[in-house]
Amino acid sequence: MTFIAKRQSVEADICIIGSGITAAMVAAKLTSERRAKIVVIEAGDDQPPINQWPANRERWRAYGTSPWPNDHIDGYDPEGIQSRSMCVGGMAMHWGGVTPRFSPEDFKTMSLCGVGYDWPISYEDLEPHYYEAEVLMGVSGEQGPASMDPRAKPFPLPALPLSYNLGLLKNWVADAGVTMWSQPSAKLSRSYQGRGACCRNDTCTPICPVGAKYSPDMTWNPLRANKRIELHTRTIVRSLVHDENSGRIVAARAVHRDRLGETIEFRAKTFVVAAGYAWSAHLLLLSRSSRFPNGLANRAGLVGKYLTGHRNVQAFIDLPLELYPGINTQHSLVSKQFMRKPAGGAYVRHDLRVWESPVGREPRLRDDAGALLLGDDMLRDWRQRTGRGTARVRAYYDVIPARESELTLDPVRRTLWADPLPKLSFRDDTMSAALRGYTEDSLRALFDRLAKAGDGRVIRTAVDNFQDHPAGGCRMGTSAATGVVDSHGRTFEHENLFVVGAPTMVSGSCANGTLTFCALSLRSAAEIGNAFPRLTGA
Amino acid sequence: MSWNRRLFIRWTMLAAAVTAAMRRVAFAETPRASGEQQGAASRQATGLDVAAVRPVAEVVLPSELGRAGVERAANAFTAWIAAYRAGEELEHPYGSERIGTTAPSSAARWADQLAALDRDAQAAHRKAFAQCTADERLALVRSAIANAGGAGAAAGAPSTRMPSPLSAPHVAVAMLAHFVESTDGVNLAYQRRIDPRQCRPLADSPKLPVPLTRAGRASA
Repeated sequence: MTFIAKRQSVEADICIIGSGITAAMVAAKLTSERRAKIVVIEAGDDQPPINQWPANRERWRAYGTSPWPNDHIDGYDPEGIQSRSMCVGGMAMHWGGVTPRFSPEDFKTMSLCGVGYDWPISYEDLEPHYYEAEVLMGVSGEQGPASMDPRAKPFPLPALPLSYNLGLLKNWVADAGVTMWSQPSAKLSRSYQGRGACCRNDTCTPICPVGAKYSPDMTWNPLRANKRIELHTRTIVRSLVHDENSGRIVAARAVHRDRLGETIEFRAKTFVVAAGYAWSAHLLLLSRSSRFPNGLANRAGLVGKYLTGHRNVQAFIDLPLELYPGINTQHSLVSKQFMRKPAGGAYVRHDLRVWESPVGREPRLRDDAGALLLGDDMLRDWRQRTGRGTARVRAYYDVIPARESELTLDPVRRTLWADPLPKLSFRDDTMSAALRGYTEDSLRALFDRLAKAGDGRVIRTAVDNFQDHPAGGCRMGTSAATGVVDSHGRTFEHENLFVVGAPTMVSGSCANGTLTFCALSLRSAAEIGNAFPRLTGA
Repeated sequence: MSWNRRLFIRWTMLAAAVTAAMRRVAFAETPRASGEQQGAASRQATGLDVAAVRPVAEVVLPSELGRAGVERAANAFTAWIAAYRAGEELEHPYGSERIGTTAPSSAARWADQLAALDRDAQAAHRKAFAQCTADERLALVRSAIANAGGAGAAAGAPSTRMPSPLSAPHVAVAMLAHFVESTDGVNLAYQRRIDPRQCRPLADSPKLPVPLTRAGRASA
């Protein structure tokens, strides 16, 4: 018997690993501006086409079932992962479409406040790419006061209108001295680039049945149809291979999930790791060699370090307002008023969002005395509690990551191909940990103040036990001593290897991160594209 | 290259690794296949007879719904449980690596409970449940819910919460829970046409929802 390992080779100019939202941004920009053969490698499967989304949504509504079947890989369930989603489009097939920008302060918290880390880029450096991402996705938004919400150009689409409920809630928070406006979102306020406008189906997370919310398949589908890229699904990149002398990356070595024993080598001039906060660092760590025993781009031991995000404190506030939950539940008010550290006080920065909520207004099966409520009794009881309204208020606050907030290779758990799985553990740095109690108390005090201003009361508060919008692991720096990549996502040690999006973030700010992941990726794409000829007319 | 011991061991280890990997892949793919089979099996047993559900719906749903509204709710409930499939993957929880699947269908248990209501009616009133008066049916349903346990029926501090239809301890509670989650249920409670989670013009969002004149109908 002879054992012959099959090997297949794919040649390209640019090889993108991952097909989530940041990969889609990179591909969109490169294909529109540069002449280059691009291959995209995705470990997961394609997701159902849009004509199946209404039916999938109905089953989700009826039974809670996943509207994105087969969007994960059995056995890829690392400890500490935020979401199992591994598919064409990634986690952004599920996302809520909320797209705030970070504030200018986010990029220089050390210089301004003596806390955390400065980024090697400023808000101004990223501003044009924020806009580019907003145009690509179709962001509807209202600009807040310029002092809190600077932007060079108006949003590509008018704001999603404030619902009747949000109109009342905006007046309430204004009485408490808080300025709020319509949350910018990648949800269409009018038809745009062949997509229809939002019609308040109100299930943006986990699925918009009409495609009014941007998801990465909207970028991939035309690029694939027009053969502008070649997307390989069900293909897991196990390691990157470097040239022994130059350290340049020469191949991404992969396996196809249906063809065991066969190795596929993707050879390219440039490699772009766009596999999110977990799988990007994981791939670099897996790519060990005698020359790079700790993995690629990891001479300073920073790969997998400084995982970042933000923590969430929320409250439900009972108010003497007649609200009608369900008008547009997933849309909210937003404020950046608290994203600037208060003068003289301790370091607390957070965003603020307000939604309508049915909490406290739900039908009940039993009354307070335990008596069963059926038929008209149930309806009477329900109606009694609809005379008032509930606001859900939520603040993400800054968490400064420790160096040991990290992704490591799990010494025990392995993939189907016997590679170690990643293991993730988020940790606040010392100052952030010391401030945690004060921060959360400050937020509860703010919620109390809001409640009082509306003659209401806080029903309950909660703090999430995980960090949202996870990022980091391949953070950018000014040198190999402080970062894995430079401000364009190019690794310091391998000139043709880029990491883009979430993993490159220095800190997670206190606002949803996806738009920033995208803006960073577009900035990287501009740099990546410089090595390839410009398309005529681009 | 000669076929030496080191090469032999290396080849054996590689072959073993590939075999183990294939076994793991086979194992990993198995649950999905068996889930589908399970789903197919349970589909055959998920039906509830709407004629048996209707007399329950008439006493557990608000009378404002009227005959047509009750009929609509009973039909929606039976259609909903008929289309239920066990072993289907649930939506991903955010912040956890665990992914769950739908539980076995409650349809068979609920069908038994409907049959038990009939038996109780025969025992108490010598007629079928459907032939009983509304007050008689309501009393039988209350007693059956109390005996079914769960959902706060236990002594001590009963929960006031309406359970989800799928976790309801009795078919009557499931029927009611299914209704209050519906568009008709929310509109009826607020007496306005909110139509949650329905496709509605975005431009109407800032407007106060129009009042209902009759159950489920908006005024002109």
